This record gives sequence, C-alpha cells and structure tokens, in this order.
Amino acid sequence: MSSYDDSIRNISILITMIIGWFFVLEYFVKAPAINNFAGTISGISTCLLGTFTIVGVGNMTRHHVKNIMKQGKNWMPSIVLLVSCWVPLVIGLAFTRTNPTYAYLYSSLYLPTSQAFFGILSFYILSASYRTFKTRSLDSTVLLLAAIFVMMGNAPATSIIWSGFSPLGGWILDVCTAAGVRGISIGIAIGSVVTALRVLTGRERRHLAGRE
Amino acid sequence: MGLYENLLIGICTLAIWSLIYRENIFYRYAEHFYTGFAASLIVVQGFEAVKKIAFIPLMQGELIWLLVPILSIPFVLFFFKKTRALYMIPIALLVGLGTALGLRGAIHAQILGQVIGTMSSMIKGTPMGTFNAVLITIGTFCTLSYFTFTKEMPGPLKSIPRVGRLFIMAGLGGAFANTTMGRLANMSGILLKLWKTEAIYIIAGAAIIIAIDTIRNRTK
Amino acid sequence: MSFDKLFNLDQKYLYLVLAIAVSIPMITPLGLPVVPGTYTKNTYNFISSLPEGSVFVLDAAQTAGYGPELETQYVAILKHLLSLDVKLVIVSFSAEGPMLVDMGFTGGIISGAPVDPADYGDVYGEDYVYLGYIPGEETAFFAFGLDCWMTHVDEYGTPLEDLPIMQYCKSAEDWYAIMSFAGGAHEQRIAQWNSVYGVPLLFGVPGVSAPRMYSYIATGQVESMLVSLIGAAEYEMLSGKIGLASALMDVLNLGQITIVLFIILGNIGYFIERRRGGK
Repeated sequence: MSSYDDSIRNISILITMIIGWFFVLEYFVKAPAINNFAGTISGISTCLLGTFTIVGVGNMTRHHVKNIMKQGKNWMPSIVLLVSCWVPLVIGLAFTRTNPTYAYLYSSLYLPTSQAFFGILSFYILSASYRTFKTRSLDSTVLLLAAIFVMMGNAPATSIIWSGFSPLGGWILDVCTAAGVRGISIGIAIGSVVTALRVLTGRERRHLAGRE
Repeated sequence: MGLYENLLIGICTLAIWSLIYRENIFYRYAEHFYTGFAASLIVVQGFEAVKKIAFIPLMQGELIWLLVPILSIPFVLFFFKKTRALYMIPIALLVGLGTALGLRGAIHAQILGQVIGTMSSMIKGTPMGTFNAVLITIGTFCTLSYFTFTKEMPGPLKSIPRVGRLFIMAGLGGAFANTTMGRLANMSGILLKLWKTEAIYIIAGAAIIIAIDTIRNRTK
Repeated sequence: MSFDKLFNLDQKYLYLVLAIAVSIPMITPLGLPVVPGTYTKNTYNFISSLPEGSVFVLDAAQTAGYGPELETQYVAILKHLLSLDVKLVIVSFSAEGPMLVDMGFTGGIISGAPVDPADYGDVYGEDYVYLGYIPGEETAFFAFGLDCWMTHVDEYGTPLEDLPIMQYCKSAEDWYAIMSFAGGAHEQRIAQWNSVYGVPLLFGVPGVSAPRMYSYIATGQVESMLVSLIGAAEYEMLSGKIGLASALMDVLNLGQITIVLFIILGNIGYFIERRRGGK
C-alpha cells in the first residue's frame, strides 16, 4: 500500500472511532441538540447505504462485461444479466418504480423467479432429509424427534390423527428451542460486543482493506 | 392477470425448477436474470429514498445534506485504481455508526434482556409453567457452557455441555421443521398460479420435454 | 421391494412424489382444518384491543423470497387494522417493500384479492399513510425511531406536513405499537425500538426465522408473532376475512406430512439395514 493509501486508511480509522464513540455515548445523553445531530448523521448514513449499491452494480457489470468480451464461461447468460440489470435500472431511475413497465417486469418475471428459487429448496429438503436424517446417535435422535413433532404440529391436519401433535410441537418450540436459541443469542451478542469494541478501538481494520 | 403474464410466470417458474431434473441453460438464464434484476431493484429504491431523505432538505437550504453526494463520490471513484482508497472514508462512517448501534443493541436487547428474562422468577402460576421456566433456565446455562471452550469441564461436569448440546439439537430440529414449512409456503404460492391459470400449458409442455428426454436417455 | 432399492431411490422419484402430493390440493381442495395457535390468538387479541386513535406502525419489510409467508400475513393484518379506528403508518425497510405494499392494495399473485381502504371508510392521509422505503437496516431503524419525518414526503410525493395523520407520529415515542414483517434483522428492531422506547413489538416472521423469536417472546421483549403461512391462515380465520393463506394451507399440510413420512421411511430402512449388519 502506498503512503497515500496509508494516510487515507488512518483517517478512516479515526473517523470510525469518533463516530462510533459518539453514538455509543449518545445513548446515555438526552439533549435535543445532540440527539438531533445524531439523527442527521444517521439520516446521512441511510442515504449512503442507499447509494452504496453503486459499487455492487458496478463490480458486477465490470465482471460480466469482461466475461462477455473474453467469451468465457456462461457468457451468454452474462448478457441476460446485464440487460436485466441495466434496462430496469434506467427505467426505474428515469420514470420511478411506479412505471407500468417496471412494475410488469417485477410482478411477471422477478417475483415468480424469486419464489421459485426459494420453493425449489423444499424438494432438496425432502431428498436430503430422506437420505441423511437418521437416528445414529442420541444427538441425531433428539434432532429428528424434535423436527418430526414440530412438523406434525405445523400441519394442523394431523390433529385428525392425534390432537397432541400441535401442543407438543409448540412445547418443543417454546421451551427447548427457546432455551437453545437463547444461549446461542447471548453467545453471539457477547461475540459481537467484543468485535464492536475491537472496531471502535481501531484494532479491527479488515473493513478498510484498501485493496490495490 | 392476462394470458401473457401467466405464461411468463409459468416459464420463469419452470426454468428454475428444471434444475431438479438436471442443470440446463434455461435455469442459468433465469438465475442470471434474477441476479441482475435484484441488483437493479436495490439501486432504484435506494436512489428514490435518497431523493426523499437528502435532496428535499438540501433544496430547502440545509447544507449538511451536501455530505450525501460528497461522500457518495468515493463509491464511483472505487473503480479507478488511483482513487480507490477514498472509498474507505464513507465506509468508515458507516462502519462506525453501524458498530456503535450494534454494540448498544447487543448489550441491551440480547445480553441484558435475555439474561434478565432467564433470571426471572421460576415459580409460575401452574406446575407446567414452573417446569417450563426451570427447563428454559437450565437449558440456557447448559447451552452457554457448551460454547465455553477456554477449559474442558472435568469429570461429571462434562455432562453440562452435553445437555447443552441436546438443547441445541432440539432447537435445530425445530428450526429445520420451520424452514421446511417456510419453503413449502413459498412453493404453494406459485403452485396456485401454475395450476389455476394458463401456465398449466407450460407444465404440460415441460412434462412432454421431460418424458422425451427420459425415453432418449433410456434408449441410449 | 427390497429396502436396498428403497434406500437408494433415485431422488427424481422423491421429487415426483412431493410434486404430486402438493398438487393434489390444487386439483381438489381438501379444506383441511386450521386451528388457531396461541401466538396468532395473542396477536389477534392485541390488535383487537388497540385504543381508538392510537398510532400503529406497520413495518412492511417483505421480500419476494418470503413472499407468500409475509405478504399474506401483511394483508391479513392490514385488513384487520383498516377496520379499526387507529392511525396506520406504513413504512418499508426492504427494497422490495414498496412493490409489495402496492401489491397488497392492488392484488397480486402472493397477496390475493385487492384491499381497498375505502371499503373500510379509511381516507389516505387521515387514517393511513405510506412513507416508502428507508435503506440501511439498523441505521434506518434508529433514524426512523428518532424522527418519523425523515423522509419529508410520503411514497407518492406528498409533503408530510400536508398529511394530518403525521401530526400524531413524530417519533417512536408516539407509537402505540409496531408490527414488522421481515425475514431478518429482528434483534436489531428489538434493540432500536423496544429496548430504547419500550414500544410493544409484534412480528410477522417466515418459518425459518421463527425459532429465534421464541426466547424474545418469553422475556416479553416481543409481544407475539405470526409464523409463516400458517400464521396468516389462522389470522384470517380469527378475523373472519378469509384470503389467500387459507387457500394455500392444504399444500402446506400435505407437503409436511409427505416429508415426515419419507423421514420415517428412511429411518425404517436404516434400522433394517443395521439389523442385517449393513452400514
């Protein structure tokens, strides 16, 4: 990294620390001037998060244009990707999302594709659970029984077979799942606090990789 | 919805679901279309939001909102080698703010809130309620002990993380069941369109193609 | 048939069986029973008991990926809220939210029949308003909680000062409650709204996110929730406004039963193989 990049990096670390500690301390302060300023900075940040997507689209465009020019793997689908990105982008930016063409593309093409993508997983869930969901040990037995009873509880029609499926499935979720997930949540929260402190003290710098 | 919309819905759906038969070019086209459109959607909506939140007060004279276009310029300069490093400045602002908010939230909501909830009175109105509260408390402690890797628990204390692992397994079982339900729900929405509209002709066409392909593979 | 063949069944046959099972209700609706669960009942009771004139915020952060789950919940709740005398403020924290909010009003493949607020005697700007999309997840939750006027105009370009309803909603301190329909960032919503302002939170969650919420409901940080399509169907039944979710429940029922049967079948095959001395 050049010294210019290093100085930008150091300034960025300082910005992270100042902004970060300001917002941590703002939590404890009830003063309209400070809270309003925090509101303005967070408003600016939400806007930046809206414009940040330029980087993603630009990167994607650059990668797929290179692929098309080299006629690399899947270069024809790359054309589809670029057209499906830039045509709606131009329409949406020029005429807003309420434009009938944009709305048509969304509801007739994107929405069913998206649903199909997520729906296809149910086929793979069936295949995977048939082959791998076996009671090989106590752990896998507990996992299997919990899954079966909750699934039977989630299908209200099973009340015809036994009315206890729903209460039992609910109990597993309310008690066993809650206990397990609570412990995991607390553990994750402790981890995120440690990481946050590392970022706010400037020890964690991976978000400022400053690639060449 | 009209005929063409329904046919398009059928084509898009079956292009994706054709993957479960085998990898094919239609799936790849649909996948690439989805990725491209999703990216455009986020940009369009992002810019519309920026227009409302930043440009309106800027036009009304609040010059601090000039920071939005100024700090957005480095995102464009990211694509040029010499100016790439400048993107770190808006990133630093976003990370600093996000980290601080995350820190505040994690301590209050996830650590304090959950610990206080766990340490509340275990004696509830009913015997079953009391049993459940005791079980949740025991399960939470055991699960937390499972993630304590600093030192192995000696002797009979080994059973504590073991019990924690069983609670995690039960939790994962419930999560698996709910995930299955969610994915079936996704499928159900599109199935209604496939079966109840003109898209059914696309199913018929797909079935014929699969039948021909299966017969061809068998005769090879 | 030997269990060797059954255990090593080509997965395409499994997919075919599932496809047939979930298609049966499309051909002949079975009308299998839907029994409202505790969480749905609690959600319904909470919303039914909203005080007149209170500000209720709907966080419509649905995405197409969780379409039928969250959109059907959103429509069921929307219909109920429009029939009550509350001030409804709708906002989105997902990029697809605006498209799906519009779809809720105009009807679509994942929202069912159109919902016309005029049928409930509601006037835009006085009884309900849609503020549009605010990017940024947790940053946006924080900013919106501090200042609900941060968008300056609603989704359709009307200045907020011209909308009488917004006089009652300046910050999260004015909210009576908020209900979020989101696939993620639930803890962040709890942190920024419930922990800071003490606002009661309700959630509409997809099935995959539900396990995380039970511990928050147990501690009282979340009032209640609707879970996936089943929650929407149960809510439609309780509110008496049957919609798309109820029509899709048969698919869910048969699909889950099919998967459970195959899991049991697979395990029976496994035990038989083990007894024979196989792996």
